[in-house]
Amino acid sequence: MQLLRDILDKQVVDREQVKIGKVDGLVAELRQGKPPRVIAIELGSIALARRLGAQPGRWTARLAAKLGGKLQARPHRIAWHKVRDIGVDIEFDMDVRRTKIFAWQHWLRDHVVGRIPGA
Amino acid sequence: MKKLLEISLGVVTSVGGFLEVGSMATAAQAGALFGYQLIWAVVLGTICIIFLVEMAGRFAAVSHHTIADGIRERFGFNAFIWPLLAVLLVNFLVLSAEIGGVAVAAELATGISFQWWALPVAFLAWLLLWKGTFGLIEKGVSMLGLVTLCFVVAAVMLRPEWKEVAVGAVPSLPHHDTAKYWFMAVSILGASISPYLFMFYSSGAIEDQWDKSYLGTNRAIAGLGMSFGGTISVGVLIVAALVLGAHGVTEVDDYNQLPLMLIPIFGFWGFVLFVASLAIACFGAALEVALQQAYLVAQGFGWNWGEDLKPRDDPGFSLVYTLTLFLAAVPIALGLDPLKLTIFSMALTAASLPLTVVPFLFLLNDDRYVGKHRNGVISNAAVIFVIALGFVLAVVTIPLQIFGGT
Amino acid sequence: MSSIAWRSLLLLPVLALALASCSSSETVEQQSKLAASTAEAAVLVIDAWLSGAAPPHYASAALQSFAGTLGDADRQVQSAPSSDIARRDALKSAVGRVTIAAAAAERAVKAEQQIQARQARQDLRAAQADLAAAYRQYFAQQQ
Repeated sequence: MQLLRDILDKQVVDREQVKIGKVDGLVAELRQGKPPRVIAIELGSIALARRLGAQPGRWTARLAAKLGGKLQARPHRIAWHKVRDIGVDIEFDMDVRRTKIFAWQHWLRDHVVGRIPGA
Repeated sequence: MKKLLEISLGVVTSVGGFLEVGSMATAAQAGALFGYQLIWAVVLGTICIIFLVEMAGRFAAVSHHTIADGIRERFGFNAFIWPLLAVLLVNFLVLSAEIGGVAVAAELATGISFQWWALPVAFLAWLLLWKGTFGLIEKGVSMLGLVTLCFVVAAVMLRPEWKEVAVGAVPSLPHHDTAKYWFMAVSILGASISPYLFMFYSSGAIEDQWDKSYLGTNRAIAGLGMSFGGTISVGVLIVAALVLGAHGVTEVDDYNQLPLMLIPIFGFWGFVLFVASLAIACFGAALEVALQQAYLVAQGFGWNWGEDLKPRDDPGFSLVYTLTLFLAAVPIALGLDPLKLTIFSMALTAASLPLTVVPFLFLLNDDRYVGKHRNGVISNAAVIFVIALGFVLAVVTIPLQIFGGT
Repeated sequence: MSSIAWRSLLLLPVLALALASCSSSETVEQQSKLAASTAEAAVLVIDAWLSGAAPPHYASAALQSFAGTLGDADRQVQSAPSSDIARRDALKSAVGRVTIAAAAAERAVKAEQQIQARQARQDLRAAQADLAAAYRQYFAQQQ
């Protein structure tokens, strides 16, 4: 399996098949004398901005921290050992509701979208 | 039996969805100034969109990916961002033009200036997306779009010389207004080959959970639906040639001239039919483009998406179409001429096509996505040829048109 | 998109040259054509209104818009310099008459005066015929 070709930019879902995001980045561990090993995937705007360059990455991180507090200043990570299935989507054995990944969507729901009648 | 129903429903949907302000305005202008001579551009554009729509449905049915998903996964985010931005921009202009089309129809019907209608139209479209479901929007609104068939009826009633119509289907060089001729050819291509059309179709195929058993259905819908759609465009062009052009109205750059196409044929009902066609076709297209904008962003970033979900379950998705609709209404509310905007955005669409279509073609030739259902040589060649032609013509003629060269 | 923008930029100098070489006769040509087409559209609108096929609010809005277009075309033709004064004057006068007739038609439809509207349509037709003749003469001379 080629990591960049087959994993990066794939759709990520949780065990309830809720769409969480895309694989925006990969975290690999360098090991002496052995090939590097993937330990986690990253997702969210910061990971995405880092792929465009170091500078956009820093700006986005600063912006995220300002808007969402310190917890949002780093990209979201999901440990690789939680992967359950790789098909059209990558399924992780986790529940997105127990993470901070959807914090902005929840904020939107509670403060903007939810306030419009009929939502 | 169920498949047959599905096919006819799909054909009806695409007929209703094909004609929008772009095809109507470009075909009217071309017919008025050049008679049947530009029919070939409609034919070429229709052939290309048949191939692209068929590919979009096949790709979704076989790979279970939408086009946006596929492009990002295959080429990575850094490459995906270019088609993403291009389509977002083009869609925005097209949406603005469609809102303008509905607003003009409202002005023709009531006498109240189109500027005042932009925001109410955007609000009505938003309300339907907010409360409605995919089926309601796709089928209901497109069904009403069948009223645009009145142009085909009108064209037949005018008894055109069918031999001359056939001659127009073969490309030929212009005898006058050369720059305008090629610019109109580009606008017609852009109006027929709208990226939102085939991207929307792939999202719809995923929403309807298509699988490989739908490949035949898909081929029938794409072929029949788009041909019927193209026929309506040719109908508009013939009517414009025989009513406007023949009366010496050659320069159609005022939307007040458009209802004149049907009035001499159907009298007062011609006026009503024109206003209804314009309003319904543009409103349907506005719904589709706004939805497509939200699909594109949600699919590109991996959010939850689906028109059948409640807005509170996909807040990001709902917010995108909400913002897009109201922002796109602003230029019209400020008084930007809807007809000029339409023609310009159609030409720009043609220029932007390579950015979306080329990566899409790669996907359709990648057996990791489509397995043995890969593209054949003919579909590849046809699409590449038309897209390249549209791009080259657009790059040459858009600046000429903007800076008023001769 | 960026590649398109760049290519368009490269075309700019070429365009500037093309623009500089555009002569005033092309303005006159374009504007006369526009005037002729708009006048024909005005006739169609008056016909539709007289036969009750066009609602009054549409007919008067359309005629107002056409009269505006004709007014602009008239101004541009009047201010264009030309080598052949007599032929140019014939063209100018025809465009001017078309413009006046369209404005009269607009007023007649607004006031719902059928007789005046018929008169305006006749004036439009006559001025339109003169315009076509003057146009042919003007450009026969140029070529």
